[in-house]
Amino acid sequence: MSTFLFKHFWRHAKVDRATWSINVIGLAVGLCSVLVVGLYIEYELRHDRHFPQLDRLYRLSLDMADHEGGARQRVAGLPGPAMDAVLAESREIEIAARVFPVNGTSRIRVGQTQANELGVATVDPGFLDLAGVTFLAGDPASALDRPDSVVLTRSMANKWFPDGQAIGRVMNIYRAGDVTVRGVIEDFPANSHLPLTVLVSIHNLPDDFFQLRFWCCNNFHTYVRLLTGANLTSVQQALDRAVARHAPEEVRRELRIVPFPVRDIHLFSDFQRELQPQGHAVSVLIFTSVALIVLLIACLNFVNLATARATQRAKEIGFKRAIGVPRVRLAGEILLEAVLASLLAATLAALAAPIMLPIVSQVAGVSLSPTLLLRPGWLLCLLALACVTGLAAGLYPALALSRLAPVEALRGTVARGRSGLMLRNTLVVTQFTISVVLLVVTLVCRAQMHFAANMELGFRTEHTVVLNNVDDAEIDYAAFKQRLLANPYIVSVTAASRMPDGRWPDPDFALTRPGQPDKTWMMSRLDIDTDFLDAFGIELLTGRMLSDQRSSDRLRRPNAENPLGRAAFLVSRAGAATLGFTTSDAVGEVIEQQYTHQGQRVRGPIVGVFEDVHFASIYQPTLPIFLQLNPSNYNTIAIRIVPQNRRATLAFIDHVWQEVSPEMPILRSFLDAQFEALFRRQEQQIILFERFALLAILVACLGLFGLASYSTERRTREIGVRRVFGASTFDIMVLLNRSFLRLVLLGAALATPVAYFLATRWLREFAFRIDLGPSPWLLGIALATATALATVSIRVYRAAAARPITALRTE
Amino acid sequence: MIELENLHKIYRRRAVETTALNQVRLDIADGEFLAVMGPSGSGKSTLLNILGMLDQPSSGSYRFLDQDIAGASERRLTQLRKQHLSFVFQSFNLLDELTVSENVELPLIYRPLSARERREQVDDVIERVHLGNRRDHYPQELSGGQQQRVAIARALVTEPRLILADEPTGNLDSANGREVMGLLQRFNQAGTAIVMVTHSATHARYGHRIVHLFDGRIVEQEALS
Ligand SMILES: Nc1ncnc2c1ncn2[C@@H]1O[C@H](COP(=O)(O)OP(=O)(O)OP(=O)(O)O)[C@@H](O)[C@H]1O
Ligand SMILES: [Mg+2]
Repeated sequence: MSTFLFKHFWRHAKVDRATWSINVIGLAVGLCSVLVVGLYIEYELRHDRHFPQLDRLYRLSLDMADHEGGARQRVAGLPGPAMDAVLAESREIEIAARVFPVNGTSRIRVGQTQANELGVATVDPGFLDLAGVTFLAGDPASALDRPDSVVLTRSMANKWFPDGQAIGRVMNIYRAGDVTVRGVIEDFPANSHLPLTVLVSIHNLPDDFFQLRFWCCNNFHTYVRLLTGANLTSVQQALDRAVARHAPEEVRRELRIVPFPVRDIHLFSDFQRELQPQGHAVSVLIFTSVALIVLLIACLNFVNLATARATQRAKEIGFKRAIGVPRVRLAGEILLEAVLASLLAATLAALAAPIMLPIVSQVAGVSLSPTLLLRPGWLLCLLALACVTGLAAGLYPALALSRLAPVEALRGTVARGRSGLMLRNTLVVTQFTISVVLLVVTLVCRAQMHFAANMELGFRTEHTVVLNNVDDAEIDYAAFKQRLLANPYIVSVTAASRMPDGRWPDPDFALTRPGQPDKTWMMSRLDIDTDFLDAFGIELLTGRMLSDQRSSDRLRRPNAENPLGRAAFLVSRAGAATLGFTTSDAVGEVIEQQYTHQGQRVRGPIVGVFEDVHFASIYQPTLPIFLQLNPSNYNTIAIRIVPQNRRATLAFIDHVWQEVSPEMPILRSFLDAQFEALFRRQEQQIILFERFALLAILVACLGLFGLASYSTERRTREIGVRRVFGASTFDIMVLLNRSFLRLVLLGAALATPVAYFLATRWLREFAFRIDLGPSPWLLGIALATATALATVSIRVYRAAAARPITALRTE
Repeated sequence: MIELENLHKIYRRRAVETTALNQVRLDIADGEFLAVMGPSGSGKSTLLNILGMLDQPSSGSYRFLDQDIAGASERRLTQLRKQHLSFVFQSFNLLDELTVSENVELPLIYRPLSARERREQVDDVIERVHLGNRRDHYPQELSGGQQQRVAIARALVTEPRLILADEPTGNLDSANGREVMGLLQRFNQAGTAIVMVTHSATHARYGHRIVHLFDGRIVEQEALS
C-alpha cells in the first residue's frame, strides 16, 4: 500500500512537473529560512546557557546617581568591596564571585613571544565553580588559590603552549606580572556575555589595591548563585542593607545594588559597560516573523496551486469516489502528498542551509557553524516542522478536493467554479500584501539609514586617530602632545574626557543659575583641552575659546573644605537654549554645576557658545553640552593626521606611545571608522531583513508563476482564438497580465496602511529621521508590480507568441 | 488574390516525417468560392491553415495580394490576417465566457474602432445571421447550428476579403448545414472570397471550383458553372 502511494506520488510529480517543482522549491526556501533564522535565534536565546543553575544565577549591578550630580545610571559592575558587604548581609547566597575584566587587550609575554590578548580578567576562585567550567587539566579546587595562578581556556593554552604542556608554565601578563598556569579549561562559547580567555587569581591584586578597598569605580562584575528557594524580595532587602551598613557615608544615598538574571543579560540588559555588545530582543522577533512569513507564503502557494490543479485532478478523484474509495482515504492521500513534498523540501532546505548560513551569520554578526545543523535534535525539529508545514499546506486542498461530489468531479466541471477562484485570488492578494509591506518597510529603513549615515554631524571625523586608554596609561599628556606635533604629518592633537562616538548617554549633569536654586537643567558635560573645538572644526558662534593662559578658565573642583569650585564654561547652541539664553546673550552669564548632593558645586561664567554637534546617536535629539577645561580628566586623545604618508604617521604615533607608556599597549582607532561601525550593525540587520523580504517576494512570484502557468494552460484555446481573430502577442500579454495585475495592485493598496504603521513605528525610535514621502511606497509598489508582471509575462510569452495554430491544435 | 507555387509542408515528429503538402500549386481569385475536398489526412486543414497565415509552409512560395508571405514575421502575418482574413471552424471555437454579441465583437476589439462603431457593426451582422434575439445568450445555450452562425457572424464582422472555413458543417445536421451553407453563399455573393474544406459533396457544390487533395497533392480540379 505504501509503495502504491509513493508510485502515485511520483506519477503526479512527473505529470505536473512545474507545479510540483514550484511547491517543493517554495517550501524549501521557506523551510531553509526558518532553519537558518532558527539557528540564529537559538544562538541568541541560548546565550549564557553554559552557566549551571542559570535560574538561580544573578549578576549584582548598580543603579546609581552619578557622583558628580548627574542623573541615575545603571552600571554592570560593582565596587570591589561590595561583594563582601552583600555576603555579610544575606544568608541566601550559595556562592558569589567577582570578575574584574581588562577593558580591551592585555599584553602577554612568554619567552620572546609577545601579543595583545582579549578576554583577560582577574576573578575570585569561586568563579570557576559558579561558571561551571570544565577542567581539561589542573586541579579545579586549588587552581586559583595563589596570587601567581592563572587558568587558561583551551584555545589560549594551545596558542601559547602549542606543545600541549601548559600546566606549570610561566607567562607574563601586563599588570599581573609573572603567573603560572595552574589550569586549562574548555573555551567559553561564543554566545556568552563573558568572553573570557585568561583568568588571573584575584589574589594577584595587591591587598591595598584601591579598587578593592574603596567603594568606587564599579569595575567588579559580581555574580551570585542564590540558594534554591531564595526569595528575591528578601535578597533585595539584604542588598539594600549591604549598602546602608557597609558603604561609606558619601555614596550610601546614591547607590542601590540590584540583582539581574544572567539569562536576561544578553537580550534585555540596560546596563552600561557590558563586556559584549547587546543582543536585540526586537531583532530576534523581527527575524523570526520574517522567516515564518516566507514559509507562510510558500504554504499559500501550495494551497493555491493545489486547488487550481483541481480541474486536472477532479476526474481522477471523481473516478476514485465512484469506485467507492472513501473520502477519508482520498483526503489522506492528498495530505500525504503534501507532507511528502514538504519532506522533500526539508531535505533540500537542509542541504541549502549551509550555503545560506554564512550569509546570515555574517550579516547578523554572529558565528554559526554549519555543524550545528547536524544535531539530531535539530534534525528532528526540521522533520517535525516539515510535517506540520505539509499538513498545514495540504489541509485545505485535501478537504476541498475530497468533498467533490463524484458525478460532478467525473464531469470535470467543478473547478471552474467561482469559489475556488475567489480563494485563489484572496491568497494571491494576501501574498502580495505581505510582500509589499516588507518591501516598503525595507525601503524606508534603507532611506533612514542612508540619511543617518550622511547626516551632517557638525564636526570632522575623517583622518582622526583616537587613543582610548590614556587614563590607564598615566602618560604625561603635555609632553606626549609636544612630541607628536613635531611630526609634520600630524595636524593637531587634542584631548577630552570622552570623544564623540555616537553613543553618548542622555544629558546627565545638573546645572543651576545663581538666584534660581530651585530650577535645574540637565546637560552633557565634556572636559576638553583648549584646542578641542579647532581640532574638530566646530564653529564658535560667540565669545571666546577656553585658554590655559587664564588660570580662572581651568576647572577647580570643589571639596569638603571649599564646597564652591570654579570654572569657565563653553556651551553648545542647544545648551544655551536649554538654560534659557539666546546664543548672543549667553556669554557672560554665570551658571553653576551641581557637583554632589551635599551642595558642592562649580560656579563660573559662560565664555562662549559653539554650534551644535551630534556627539550622540541619531536616536537622541541634539545634546545640550557644556565644556570645561580640565586636564586631570583627559581619558582620550584625538590626533588629526594628513591623508598622505598615513602608514608611517601611525607607526610614529605607536612609537611615541611605546616610549611614554612602555607597559600599556596602545588602543587606537579611527573616529570615522567608529561611526561607520556603529551604523554597520544597524545596516546589516536591515540588509538581512531586505534579503528575507526579497525571498518572500521570490516565493510569492514562484506561486504567481504557477498560477500563470495554470491560467495560460486553461486559456490556451482562448489565446488561440483571439490570436486568430487579430490579437497580437502584446494584446494577449495584456489580457493575461491584467487579471494578476489587479490582484497585485489590490495587495499593494492593502499593504499601504500596514506598511505606514510599521514604518512610522520604526522611525519613531530616531530623533533625526526622514520625512515619510510617497517615494518608498511608489517604489515598493512599482517593484512588486514589475516583478509580478515579469513573472507572469515570462510564463505567458511563449503561449502568446506561438503560432496561433499551435494553441488551437492542443484542444 | 492568392498564388501558391510549389508549396511544401513537412511535419517532423521525432524520427517520423510527414509530408502534409507536396508541390501544391494553386491560384485563388478575388471573390472566388473554393471548396477543398479529400480523404482524412490528405492535408486539407494544413493547406487552410497556411492560407490563413496561422501556420508557415516548409518551402515554396505564397503570394498574397502580390506580396510574398512565406517566411514573413509573425507580426506581419498578424497584421495581414487582421486586415484581410477571417475564419470559421468545425468546432465553432466560441469563447464560453462571452455572450453571443461579445463573441462577435471579439475581432473588432483589436481594431481601432470606437465602442459605438463596434456596437453598430456587431448588431448589423447578428441581424444578418438571424440571431438578433439571442444576442445576450452564452454559446452553451445555443444549438450547434446557431453556434456556427455566431461563428460566421464573427468571421464577417471585420468585412474580410477572404473567409477560411474548415468543415463548417462537419458538426451539424443536414438542416443546419444547409442553413450555414446558404449564409456562406449569400456572403460570397456579396463579394467575400471563401475557401472551404468539406467532406460533403453536396456542400462542395455551393462553390465555384472544387480542389481534390490526396496525400498532400492536388490531384484534381473541377470547375463548376
Ligand atoms: N501538428 C502536426 N504534427 C505532425 N503531423 C501533423 C500535424 N498536423 C497534421 N499532421 C499530419 O499531416 C497530415 C495532414 O493533416 P491534415 O490535418 O491537414 O489532414 P486533413 O486533410 O485536414 O484531415 P481531416 O479530414 O481528418 O481533417 C496528416 O498525416 C497528419 O497526421
Ligand atoms: Mg482537417
